[in-house]
Amino acid sequence: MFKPSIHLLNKEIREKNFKNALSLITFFLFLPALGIIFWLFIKGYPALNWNFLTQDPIKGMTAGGIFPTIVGTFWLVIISVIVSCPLGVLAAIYLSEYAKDGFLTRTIRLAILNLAGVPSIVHALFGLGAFVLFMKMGTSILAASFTLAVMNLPVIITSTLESLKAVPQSYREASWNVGASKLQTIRYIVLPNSIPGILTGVVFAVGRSAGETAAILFTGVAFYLPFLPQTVFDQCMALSMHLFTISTQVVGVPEAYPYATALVLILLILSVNSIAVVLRTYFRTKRKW
Amino acid sequence: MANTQYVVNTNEFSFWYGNFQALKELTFNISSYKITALIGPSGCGKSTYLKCLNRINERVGEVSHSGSIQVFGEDIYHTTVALPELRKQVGMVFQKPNPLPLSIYENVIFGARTHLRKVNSKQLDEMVESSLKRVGLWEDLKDKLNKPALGLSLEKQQRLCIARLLPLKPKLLLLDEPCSALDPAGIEAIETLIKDLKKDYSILIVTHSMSQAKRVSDETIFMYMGELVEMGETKSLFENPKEERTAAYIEGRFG
Repeated sequence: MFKPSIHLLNKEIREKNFKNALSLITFFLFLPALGIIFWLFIKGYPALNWNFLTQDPIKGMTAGGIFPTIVGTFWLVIISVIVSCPLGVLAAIYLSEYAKDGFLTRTIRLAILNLAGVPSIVHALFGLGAFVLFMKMGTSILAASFTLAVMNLPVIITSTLESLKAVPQSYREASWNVGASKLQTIRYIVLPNSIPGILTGVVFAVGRSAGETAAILFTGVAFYLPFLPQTVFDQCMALSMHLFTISTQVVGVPEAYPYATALVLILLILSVNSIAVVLRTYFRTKRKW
Repeated sequence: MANTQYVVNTNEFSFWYGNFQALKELTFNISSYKITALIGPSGCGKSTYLKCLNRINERVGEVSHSGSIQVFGEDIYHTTVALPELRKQVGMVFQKPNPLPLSIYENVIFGARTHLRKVNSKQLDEMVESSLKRVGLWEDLKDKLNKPALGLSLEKQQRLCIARLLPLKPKLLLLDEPCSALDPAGIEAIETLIKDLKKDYSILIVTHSMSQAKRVSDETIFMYMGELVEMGETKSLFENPKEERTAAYIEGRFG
């Protein structure tokens, strides 16, 4: 009586095949990521040592280390996040909690989406015009970081908007209903519950900033500098740019150098991302819904 | 001006969501320290009216109104009305229990914290104890005050939602189908609580269940298509409805 019919058996086979196909695809998507790191490690291994990380490049960048580029990348990332985070989060709060849905709001949202699609080389030209020349920052860490910040804004705004939307409307109602103001509701209910999502957006932004090359090309990053930046008005070197330079612009670089540089860049981004994962998990265990 | 017999005076009050007129020239008074039930088929405007009383529906989008609603003799649509203050005095309990994602303790005092500038922890402790005692949760929860409120059963969540209004010393409680997410035992418990709260608060309850209206309310308002059809003492409204539509609805011929 409860024996499966032929029809049902076929159904089960199809079900199984579909599931297997999906897991295969997922596996293949995962493969390149693993493959890249593995390949970089094999190829870059000969150049990897403590000195590589802590010394300046010497002999026309064909020997020595990459220390100044790591320092430069840190400057750029940190300043761009300091600029874009508050701006992006506040803009998202305005759009999600205060702005009425009208023509203006919809235009702003559309503009933000489009900003995310602007190629980074265009951002670089904008940065050159707006920050370097018009605001007279010169080619400097500040101008490059501002350019990165503009590039990151849509990422931060969009992800913050998403995570604000994910907070159930009933929480806001419950809070208003006991007479909490909008600001109090945002401060005590909405933000604490959307922190994980906001953090993710910020970390994406950090990853993008660290890897970005074109946007910083004209605005503040040099091929080679014999000194470390002292203030934000100095130029700096950057990992991504250095990778480009020693891969294509300099003759006589040992083969392992670009690979090792790329590996450092990727590991840097991966470690930032894993910090985010740890933070998110922490907030999630604290969350009560 | 202030009339102690009535807590709410509604005068030719109409209300629109965008172009849709949800309420049509309502005029009636709601008595103090009584339970008034609002009944009517879905979409008749009973919830809308309830939400007008603490203006919580103004976030939905474009809304407009004409006429007036006075609560304790004060026009709540007057330009000088501060919404947080209004909502503090006119507290609402929603259909779906919606405790905040905080601990039980924090839930009870959330409102008080947002209103009072200086409260010491002793006052807060007292608020929590008296509020939870009032809704019959204290014995169960006194050792679990720091547990998340969302871990409670639905009935307890709903009690908690009532309890968190009490530290604000509201004068009017609005209950929007407070029992529709609960099982029979939960319904009975909440109804008992509501009847008990009548001593200290004026209560307006929206309900889908006519038996509930009969059980708990002193007065009943029947609404249909945004209009007031009939209002009267619960017993007489159910036994001798004056309007044909009321009779049809309470006999279950439509709705």
